[in-house]
Amino acid sequence: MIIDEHLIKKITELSKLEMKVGETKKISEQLAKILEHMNVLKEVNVDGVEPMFHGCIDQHELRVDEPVVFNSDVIAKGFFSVPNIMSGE
Amino acid sequence: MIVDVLRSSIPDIAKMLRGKKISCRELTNVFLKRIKDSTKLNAFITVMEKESVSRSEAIDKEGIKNSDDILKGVPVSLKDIFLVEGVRNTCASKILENYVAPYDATVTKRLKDRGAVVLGKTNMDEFAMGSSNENSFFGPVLNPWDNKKVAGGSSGGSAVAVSAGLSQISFGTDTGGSVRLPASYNGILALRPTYGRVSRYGMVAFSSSLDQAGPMARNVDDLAIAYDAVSGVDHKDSTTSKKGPSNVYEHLIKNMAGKEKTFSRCIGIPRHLIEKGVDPEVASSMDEVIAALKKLGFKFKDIELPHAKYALDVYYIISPAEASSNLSRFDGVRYGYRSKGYKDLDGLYKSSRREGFGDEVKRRIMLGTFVLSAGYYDAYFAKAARVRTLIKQDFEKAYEGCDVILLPTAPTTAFKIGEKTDDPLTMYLNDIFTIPANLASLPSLAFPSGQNKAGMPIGMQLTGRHFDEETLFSVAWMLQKERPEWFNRVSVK
Repeated sequence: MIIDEHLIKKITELSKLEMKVGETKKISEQLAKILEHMNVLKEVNVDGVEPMFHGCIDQHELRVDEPVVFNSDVIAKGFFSVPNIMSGE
Repeated sequence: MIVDVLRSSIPDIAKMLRGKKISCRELTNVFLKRIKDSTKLNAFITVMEKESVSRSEAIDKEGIKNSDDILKGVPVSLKDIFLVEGVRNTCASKILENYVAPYDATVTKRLKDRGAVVLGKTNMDEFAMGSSNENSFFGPVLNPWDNKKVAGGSSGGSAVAVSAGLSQISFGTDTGGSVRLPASYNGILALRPTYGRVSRYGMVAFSSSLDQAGPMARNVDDLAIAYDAVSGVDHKDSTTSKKGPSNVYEHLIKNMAGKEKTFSRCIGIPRHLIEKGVDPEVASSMDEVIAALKKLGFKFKDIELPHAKYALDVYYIISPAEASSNLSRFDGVRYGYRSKGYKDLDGLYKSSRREGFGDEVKRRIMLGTFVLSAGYYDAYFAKAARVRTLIKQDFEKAYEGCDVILLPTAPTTAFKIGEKTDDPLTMYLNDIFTIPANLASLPSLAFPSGQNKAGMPIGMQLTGRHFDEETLFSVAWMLQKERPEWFNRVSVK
């Protein structure tokens, strides 16, 4: 995995972090080393395995939503309704 | 009197308070003085002197009855990640240096409701990211057994507070081993409960699918009392299990005392994980633990956890990914530190985060952002989440043939301060034995098992089935009777 300046720039932009001049090289090397270690995961066959995205063991119930929308004047299909916020199509 | 207090358990202290051998104010003063005399260790970020003194005086005024909670009047400390209303909560970060908590965490509230006296907030690795407690904005915590060595992390301040007798018990958090590792480096006990057993409400989030609050103590009794005090469903955290509070201490007193011989379980050992890389003195300490347990009638069995060797890589994908999302809230606007050097809103976010976060936090945010980014998500994050399932399934299969799994908590004892700071990957390898339990949401109890020739504490851990903390405590209770010299050790002369 090559962590070049372009990739670091992309990551720092996405994560709203800035790197000082000179810091980029060090972090690139460190990240490259960590990601290289992670290559070992390529050997694991995960065909048909469900991902585990949370830590809960027993089933938990969602609580009933508080009735809040009735306080708004403009409701559409049970949601708050506002004017368009995106232009274009 | 000071020595008496330092060698006492919570039940002993409860007796002293009820028998008026010491007042709550005097007891609180013993600990506050010890904290003041030990500032070199850097275990506390905020000492709540005024609050704890006034609380202890109120308790003395009210009196302590026999029927009162056993924790009433007992001085405790909290990792600086559990909110305490009106007290600053820094998470050992510059970005939260002056953040004051607007409400109590559930752990805090439950301890206060039981009458505990909160002495202060303990030092930690910034946002709980670290294994040595060297990543704190407030400087590293020193190991009280050898000040040149690390305290372990991320709950290093809590471990040192308990080990050095600065607090009777403490609470830390364990995302990848953060209560168990420092407990082992300091010669004390710690429990990482089953995921969902303790509320995360008011506990600053690092990795939401892995974080659990856990107690730290010098003996099994205190650890059980501390765990019982905070466990159980909380409607403010939808990931808590519906189970009620645990009742482990009562179980130990009623069912275990005097009947130890009838309690026999099978202990599994994943030999393949410890074949290489374990310090010989740690390995021989494990042999001593096995010998003690065999003497107590336990059976042993070699088990296989075929995917555990991938746990470290899975953990360092999943936890930074979740952290990169959780820490996006620290933007220089809503909490704490705001940079002065910015031109526009985007610049405000970037410069506040650059100046406010330390190197390790930035490294993990970047790693997490990368593994979640378009083009890499499937190869890293989605893959890791699937391997996590396989790791959990390995444990479930292993528990068909044994009740508890025994491993060292760490491959070595505490290392020198500065020894691993330049190489994050080497530092991450410290967590190799603790991480699998977190990924599988399992409970795991770390306990002391003596010391090496240099006098540094060694620790082992027992990992059990989901929600079976009781068995872990029972085994530890029996070991405490068999090898009392391993327990109740205070790192002061």
